[in-house]
Amino acid sequence: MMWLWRVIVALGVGGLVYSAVSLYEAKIETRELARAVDRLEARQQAIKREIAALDTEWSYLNSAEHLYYLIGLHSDVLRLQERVPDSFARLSELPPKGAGSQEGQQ
Amino acid sequence: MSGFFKEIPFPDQPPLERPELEQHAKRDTTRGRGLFLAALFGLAFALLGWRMGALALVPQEDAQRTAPAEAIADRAQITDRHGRVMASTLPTWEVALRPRMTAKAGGLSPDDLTALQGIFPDLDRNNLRYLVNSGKRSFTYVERRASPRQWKQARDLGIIGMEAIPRSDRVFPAGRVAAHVLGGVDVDNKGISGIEKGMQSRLTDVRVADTPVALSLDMRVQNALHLTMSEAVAEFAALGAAGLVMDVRTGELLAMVSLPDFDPNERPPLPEPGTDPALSPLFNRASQGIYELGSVFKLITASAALDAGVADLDTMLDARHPIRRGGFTISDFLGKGRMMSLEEVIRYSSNIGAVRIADLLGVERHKAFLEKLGMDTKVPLAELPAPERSAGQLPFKWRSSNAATVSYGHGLAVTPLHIATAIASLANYGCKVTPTLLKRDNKLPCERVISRETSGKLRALMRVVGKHSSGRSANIAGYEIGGKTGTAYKIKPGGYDFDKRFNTFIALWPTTEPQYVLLLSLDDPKLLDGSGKLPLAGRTAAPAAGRAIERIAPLLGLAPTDRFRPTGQFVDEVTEGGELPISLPPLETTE
Repeated sequence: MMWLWRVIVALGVGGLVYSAVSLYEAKIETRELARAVDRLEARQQAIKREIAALDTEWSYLNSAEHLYYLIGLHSDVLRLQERVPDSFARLSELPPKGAGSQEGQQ
Repeated sequence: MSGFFKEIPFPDQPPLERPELEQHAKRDTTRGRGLFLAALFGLAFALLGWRMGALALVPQEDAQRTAPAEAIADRAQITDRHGRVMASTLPTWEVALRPRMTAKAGGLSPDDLTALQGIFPDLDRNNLRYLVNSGKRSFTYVERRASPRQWKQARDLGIIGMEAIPRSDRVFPAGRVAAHVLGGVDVDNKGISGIEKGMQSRLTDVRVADTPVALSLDMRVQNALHLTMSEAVAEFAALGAAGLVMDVRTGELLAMVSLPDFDPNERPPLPEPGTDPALSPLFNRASQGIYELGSVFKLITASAALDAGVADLDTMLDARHPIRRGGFTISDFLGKGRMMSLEEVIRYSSNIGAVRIADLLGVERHKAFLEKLGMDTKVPLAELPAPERSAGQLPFKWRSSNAATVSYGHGLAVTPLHIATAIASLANYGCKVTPTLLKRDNKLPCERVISRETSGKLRALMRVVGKHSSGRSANIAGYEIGGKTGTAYKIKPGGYDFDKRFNTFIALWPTTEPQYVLLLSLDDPKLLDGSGKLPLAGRTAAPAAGRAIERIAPLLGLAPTDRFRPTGQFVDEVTEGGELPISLPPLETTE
């Protein structure tokens, strides 16, 4: 029975040592992963901020005040007009294909 | 515990000698220690396992609360219903200087000051030089809202004692177009008005910081209304204006504008004590200002009478002579001096006729109907802070004279939002409309305020005014616009100012299939065309509303019905089971 007890104790000690080593490794790995997650989160935040800044800038560029300014600036070339009820048309009311481009060439 | 493993000698063996006994005892002690250590390790691992299990089983909601500290400072974006950014938080810097430290390092050279002035145009360079030279202060701000680029340029100057504190700043890319709806934030990014204050807790909730708050506003509609109202204010030299567009099916506000307005990026100071806060650009005339709105209330009086069954469209009413009530004479502006049907009372906007309708209705029913429409309370628009929503003011005591004046929109004061909500409810087949500034995906269940039949009659009345009467200047072909004008004298201490008016036009379109309500009010408009005519709502607010609809309807994808849908007699659904045509032929036109 003595040998059995010794085997059990040896296995227990070995298991404990293995668990301790595994736990230490897991801890180190977890710490590294946590740092990686932090880095990713920081990068994500930075990218989100950049996207927010771009969205905001786009909203400014797309704002009515800015668009009216641009329309005024290029009115002689673009000849843009507001959408009005008469802007709606049926397909049958559209000019034949190519008519507009021919007119433009003249 | 160690006794469990103790060896039991065989009885026939000879008794052990003393050294052997000592050896056994030593072995027992070693075993005991080993077991104790094993138990200790086991307990430690059990604790560790329990802790790991507990961490793994933390509910998701709690886990989300442990968001990075950086996100806590952020406010969620605000967008319009199509995702266009209306308010956003961007990184900025507070650039500061430690004057004593700078002085010890040799102070600021004129070149440094010139360079700083170039980076920060609003910098008071003399004050900064004084602070550095005098050594009176250890810390001062150079710029509290510096962009990352400005801070980079300032840092590159290499001034000793200059530092920057990162912060975030709220920006409103749409500028003043939706100023009153959005409101603003203080220097600590805390909401102080508008949506920014009314939804402060939602905007700063870190669990949903990445999800924008989607408003019901459509920036294209908001821009169109803002532009049209600005043009109207300039054309009629008005003191201000209020306007809104509401989807009657959902109660969503697609636009809400108050003029004069302000740029939320450069918020103006609060009005000086002693001045009228209603004249401040910070004042929201659409939801905060209460006004006597005049004849638009005749629609409500007529609806109440039609729904109560005390009158019908063809009920004849005596409008031959002015009426005296409570010491006042009530007359018509352009009286016909004859008997009129209820339909004609609305068409010609007869004050006398409206009083006759109120008489048929009775004071109690009249009062109860106004209360049912929420005229005596604040409009339930919870997205705006309570101080920015005013309660309507009904007469304190309802005498017959009060009921008479209320019937044509005098003697009670409500916000433009009140009347737009009420008309939307009446027009929406009689189902109550609760306004909102948030995008709403579903229609609300119908809470009936009037019958479907009465709603049809009301829309028919509005169409008559929009097509043939005072609202015809707002009648854009193909959109079946209905409406009602309201011209009210403004109140001054001790009575009415008969030279100043508050003009309103409320429009509904299309009247056969109601979708949108538009309200436009002008404060003290004047006709500057030299015609000498009086600036009535039909000449000011109504044409302005027509221009607004002309711009807005195509943006909402509404094609003119006369070209893209079958046309014919004005038909309205008046019963649950079928359609009943209500034909109100044009009579003579009126102003």
